[in-house]
Amino acid sequence: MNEDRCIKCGSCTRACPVLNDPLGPGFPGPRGAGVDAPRFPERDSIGQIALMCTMCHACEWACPSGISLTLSMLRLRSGLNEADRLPGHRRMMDNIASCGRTVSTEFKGWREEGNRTLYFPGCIGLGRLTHLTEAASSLLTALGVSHDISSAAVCCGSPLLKIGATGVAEDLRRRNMEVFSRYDRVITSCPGCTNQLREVYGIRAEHMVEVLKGSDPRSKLDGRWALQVPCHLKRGLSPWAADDMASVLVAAGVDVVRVPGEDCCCGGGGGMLAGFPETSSSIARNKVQMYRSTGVDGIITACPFCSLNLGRQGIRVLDIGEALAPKR
Amino acid sequence: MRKDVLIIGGGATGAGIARDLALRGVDCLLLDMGDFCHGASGGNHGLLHSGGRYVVKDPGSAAECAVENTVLKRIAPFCIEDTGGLFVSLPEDDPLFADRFKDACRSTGVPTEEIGAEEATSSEPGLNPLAVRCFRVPDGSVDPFSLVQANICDAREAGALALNHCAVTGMTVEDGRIVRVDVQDRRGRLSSPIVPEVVVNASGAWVADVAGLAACTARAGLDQGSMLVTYGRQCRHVINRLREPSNGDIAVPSHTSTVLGTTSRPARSPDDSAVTREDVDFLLRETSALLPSLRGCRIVRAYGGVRPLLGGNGREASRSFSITRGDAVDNLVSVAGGKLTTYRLMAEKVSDTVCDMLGNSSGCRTHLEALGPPADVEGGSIALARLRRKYGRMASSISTSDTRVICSCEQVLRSEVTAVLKTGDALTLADVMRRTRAGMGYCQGLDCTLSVLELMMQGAKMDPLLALREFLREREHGISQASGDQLRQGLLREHVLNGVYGMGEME
Ligand SMILES: Cc1cc2nc3c(=O)[nH]c(=O)nc-3n(C[C@H](O)[C@H](O)[C@H](O)COP(=O)(O)OP(=O)(O)OC[C@H]3O[C@@H](n4cnc5c(N)ncnc54)[C@H](O)[C@@H]3O)c2cc1C
Ligand code: SF4
Ligand code: SF4
Repeated sequence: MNEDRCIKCGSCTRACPVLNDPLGPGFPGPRGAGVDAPRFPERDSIGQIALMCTMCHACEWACPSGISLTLSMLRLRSGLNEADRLPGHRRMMDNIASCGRTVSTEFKGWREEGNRTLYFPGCIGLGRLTHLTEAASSLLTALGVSHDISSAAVCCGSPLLKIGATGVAEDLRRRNMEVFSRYDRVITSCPGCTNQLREVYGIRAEHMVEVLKGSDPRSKLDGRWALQVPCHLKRGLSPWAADDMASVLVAAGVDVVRVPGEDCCCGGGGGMLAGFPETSSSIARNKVQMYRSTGVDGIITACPFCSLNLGRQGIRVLDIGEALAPKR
Repeated sequence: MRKDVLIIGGGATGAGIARDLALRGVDCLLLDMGDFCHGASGGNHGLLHSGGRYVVKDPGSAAECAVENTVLKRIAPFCIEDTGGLFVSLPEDDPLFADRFKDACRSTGVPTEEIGAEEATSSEPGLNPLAVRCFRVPDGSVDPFSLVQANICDAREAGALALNHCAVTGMTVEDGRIVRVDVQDRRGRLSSPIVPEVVVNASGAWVADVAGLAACTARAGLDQGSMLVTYGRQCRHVINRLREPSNGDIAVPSHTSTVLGTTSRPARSPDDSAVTREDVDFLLRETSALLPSLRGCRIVRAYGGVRPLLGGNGREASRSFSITRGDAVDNLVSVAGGKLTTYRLMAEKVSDTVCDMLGNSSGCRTHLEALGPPADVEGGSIALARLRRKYGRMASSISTSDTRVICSCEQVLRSEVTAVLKTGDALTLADVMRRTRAGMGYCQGLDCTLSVLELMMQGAKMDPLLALREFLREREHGISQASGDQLRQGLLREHVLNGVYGMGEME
């Protein structure tokens, strides 16, 4: 690892959405957890506060020394004691054990028709936000992409890595790879899944935004819409994917308002939503307040976690699939 | 002020003598012109020698080290990391030296065990795989600041008075005796001259200057040595090059870093400790032959120390010590040479001499009584173990319930600084650093200095700007040769101090 390059400039701590939130203190911050903690191996169990990070990568982007802060913090998490597991994270583990997904599955519209393309909605899309999944699926169909939605596919494992359960994540990967071997193409609507499939599974999964880029869907959406640019889309997949998200919407005729801070974390990633729900919703609340002050009618995003976390603050939030889906 | 014994010099030797004499019931006063450890005791490699380094060329020192190594591990385990040491030869080294080394270890009593290169590389994964001959020895890593501080605490508890920042500036000799010693106390605690029965000159590299105050001579050459501090621990053991003692032979893991050393060149004065660019390059080149990963390693700081040498030059000189009575002065005892590792033995011999002069017949007890807490108290937390390593017995008085960290590089708690300030010994930022390690880390004080200063100002009247400048200048010596990431660190530091705080312009 390259933590030894730190010059203590503090850029990472200034960029961190958790540290900058009124409910954030307690978290040692990216430098504390990513640079200082590995220097003191006797502090291996810095405990639950090591989990108080959304894995938004803002720190890593800000760091002038190119330090792999998130990787370093993930390593710290993988050394966490079982006893330090947060109640919310324990629930995730229980759900994995019983249904293979981090939240219980509500989705009913499975499609197992032997298509060559698999649409992989992810745990939130199959549990909490089934409407998001239905919209994305019908959009794909409208675009001429015939696809399966397989009930055999399980959680991608990304949330498990974030809570330090590396063994379970590996297990899930093995189960999924068996399913994936039956397909030529995998499309996801959660950037967390996309990253996991690319980085950990080594398969070229596509995110909805990337699929939409080549086509020209039309939107009938009225009103002015701000963007919530998902962390794992912009800082995980690529900054261009984030730009594409905006241009696809504009081309489809949506009145998009670009606001500063649109690419700041919603507070819902990295296991925070389950692990530290108060901090997570505090970050979301402050972010939504910012959106409200711009006078938009709602927010469009491209990540189920953003949809879920911001949506709970009472503002209209649409997934890009919902924004562009043909009206039924 | 009347005192049985005045000890000049608060390095390891002087502090050891103060403890020894105080435990024998002698009324003594210890003075240092700077902080304790202002001299070589604060500018050395921190290697608790097994004796291995000297077995071939200086068997007397080797035997002394071998004995004292076990004594110190027994009485002061809290400030020693018992890492063990490896002596390792490389293909280009004289193959016969290893055999001479083995024989000499046997005859000097330095415990050693030859192991295969495979075993060596498995217990020390960073070791050059081309290693030829490898020996295990009981080397360790000692924190000199903590060791000296513990001696001072103990001496005080036994009744000694020990003052830092208090220089001896003159002596009056009448009828072949020192009758009066003038001092300059930076804090004005001592106002009258000292009237001692016996004066002990334990002033290290300054031994000749101090003897000169009583018109006596003490012959000692001066030799400078350089060391480098790396980011992070780069090895598990003390790693020694198995060859004729030479420059750049040793890597010592210590706290959060590894110290690479040393070099040897004649010094012009006791303060001539500056490290050159050549020293830095040389040390990196030589030590990375043993530990290849050192080649790209971030060097946090370079520092030097000056040692007095008895007979011979540089590496040829004996590392043993000598005790001399002043030629024309009856009540002056000068001690010079030796090692940090043998400080206790030196102190014992000096105290024997002094007690002889005073007619005190009590024997030495310093090898019997523990200097601090045992190494690993059952059930103690790791955070507490780290505190114990720095503060010995004082560790238990530091509150860990306040988890605020003041120096993130070294994870120093705010409460450590508060506790140190309460002792009254710390006058400068560097004094706080020597005790707590705040400021010793890779950012070299960028992060912690102002917060420490703020705490200091709560307790004492001081000119903060002056204190800050003094400290930053001291730190700058160590980073003037910085390169790579440490150079980036230096540039940021300069930007913050000069650009943001405007320190440069106020000069
Ligand atoms: C580069 C180097 C590396 C070394 N590495 C090791 C090692 O790894 N292991 C080891 O065992 N040993 C090592 N040594 C040796 C060891 O550091 C010394 O033997 C030991 O520290 C000497 O302690 P001391 O108390 O005799 O002298 P010092 O520590 O030099 O103390 C002398 C003190 O006298 C004070 N003083 C001087 N004049 C006056 C005055 N007029 N009034 C008041 N006070 C005065 C000074 O301020 C100073 O603090 C090393 C030495 C050097 C130079
Ligand atoms: S990834 Fe985001 S939340 Fe986590 S430490 Fe970095 S900036 Fe903070
Ligand atoms: S941004 Fe990078 S270099 Fe700066 S303090 Fe954070 S980790 Fe260190």
